[in-house]
Amino acid sequence: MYKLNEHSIQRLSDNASIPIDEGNRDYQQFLQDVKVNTISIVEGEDVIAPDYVALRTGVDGYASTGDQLGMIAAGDGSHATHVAAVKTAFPKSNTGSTTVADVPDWVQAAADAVELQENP
Amino acid sequence: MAGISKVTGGGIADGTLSVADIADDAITADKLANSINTDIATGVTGNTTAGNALPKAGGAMTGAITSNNTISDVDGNVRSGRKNLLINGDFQVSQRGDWSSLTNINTTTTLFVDRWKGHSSAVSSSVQHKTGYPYANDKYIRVEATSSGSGYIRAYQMHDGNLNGKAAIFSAMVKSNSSNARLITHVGNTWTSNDTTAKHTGGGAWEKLTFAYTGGDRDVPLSVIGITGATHGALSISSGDYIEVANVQLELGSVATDFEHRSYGEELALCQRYYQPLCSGNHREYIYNVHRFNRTYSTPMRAVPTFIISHTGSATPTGVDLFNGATTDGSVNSWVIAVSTTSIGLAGGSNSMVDIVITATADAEL
Repeated sequence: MYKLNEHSIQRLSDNASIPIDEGNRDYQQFLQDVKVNTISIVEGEDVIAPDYVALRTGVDGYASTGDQLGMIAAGDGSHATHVAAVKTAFPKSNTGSTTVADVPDWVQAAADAVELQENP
Repeated sequence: MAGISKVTGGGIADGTLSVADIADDAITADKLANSINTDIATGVTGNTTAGNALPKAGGAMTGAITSNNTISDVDGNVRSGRKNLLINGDFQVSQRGDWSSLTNINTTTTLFVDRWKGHSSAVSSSVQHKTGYPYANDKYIRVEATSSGSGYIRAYQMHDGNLNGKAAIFSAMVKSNSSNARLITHVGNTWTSNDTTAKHTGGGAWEKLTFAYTGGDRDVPLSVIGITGATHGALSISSGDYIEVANVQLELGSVATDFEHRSYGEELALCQRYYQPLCSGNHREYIYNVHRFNRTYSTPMRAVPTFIISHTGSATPTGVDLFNGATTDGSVNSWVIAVSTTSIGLAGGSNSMVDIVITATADAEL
């Protein structure tokens, strides 16, 4: 069984990270295995929806410390408004999720293109 | 000066004859002492020509030396370096672990000593890395059948380079209890061997086997030592049949010369192109979302390798993502592993201090 990652293929039997590279024999074996056993032995990439903590602290979340100090020093309520806006945008109810994407078409196409090899 | 009609008494004293006093061809062979003629006749064969003058004692000879036969030294070989196309032919390097005990590999193709695969078909087999031949501290390997049936057992190395049209000779010291132990190779798409020079007697002693052939058009040639048929077919194998192999060499040319001994460091560097263990060093770092480790390989690798991470200190990634840097010649010279907070069991966006020691193996074997 294999699982796709963003830049590699994970072989679940030993957690090996296999590069998507024609010169790598494990990648060639992956294609052979798919050809023989069908695409059902491959699981798609995890799609991670970040939780509220990640979102609030991410690029779309709270302003930098310096900017927030500036808001506080201004004393015009802008800091409280900013914090409230971020909390509203990313509520605590958002605990994140992980779903599995479909296996992309290139896997089947690459497996179809490879010739079955016997042990040399 | 008048011609000398006869030399008598004490002969011609030193210094009596000066340059050009003896004309070209004035002395013919039958006028020399018989012993000199015999020496010349013995040392000069019909196909030998002297394109240049022989030097006086201590002088250098100019021009090429040609021969219709082999040129040998006192041990019967001419030594030269960088001739072995196989890597780890004397089995010095074993980065994949300790194989000093017989290890059952069933029928699974198993990389054990660097660059060497053990494999059997239809019968189970074990592999072992041994010490003691040709000399006390030298290494060799053993492949042994552990069940009986119709099949084969073998050790082999796949190597870079197309030998198409080139004369090559494959040689190895082999010990076996089977008269079907042989050297065999894949020329183009055909397995070939030589029952005269490349087949063991089965007498249980070390024998030097050689196999001269002309390479075929195959991008990844194989050099195989096994108990197998002459065209690599199955034959009757009994449990306990074995091969032991030392000093394996593949060289260009038609004559097997002495084994090329390379230092451990040289051999290790050659092996690292195909496999190397890695260690990131010990890091205590804050991880915020993702931390990337960027390192350079000890030796650029043949292709982008497969990574297996074996240890990560207090951080234990459940999955890693891998990036690789390629050089202009296609070799791969660096690696980056991304470790994320979520992959080590922390909430996304956590800002945590963790100890990280990533040890891994990178495998770009053929």
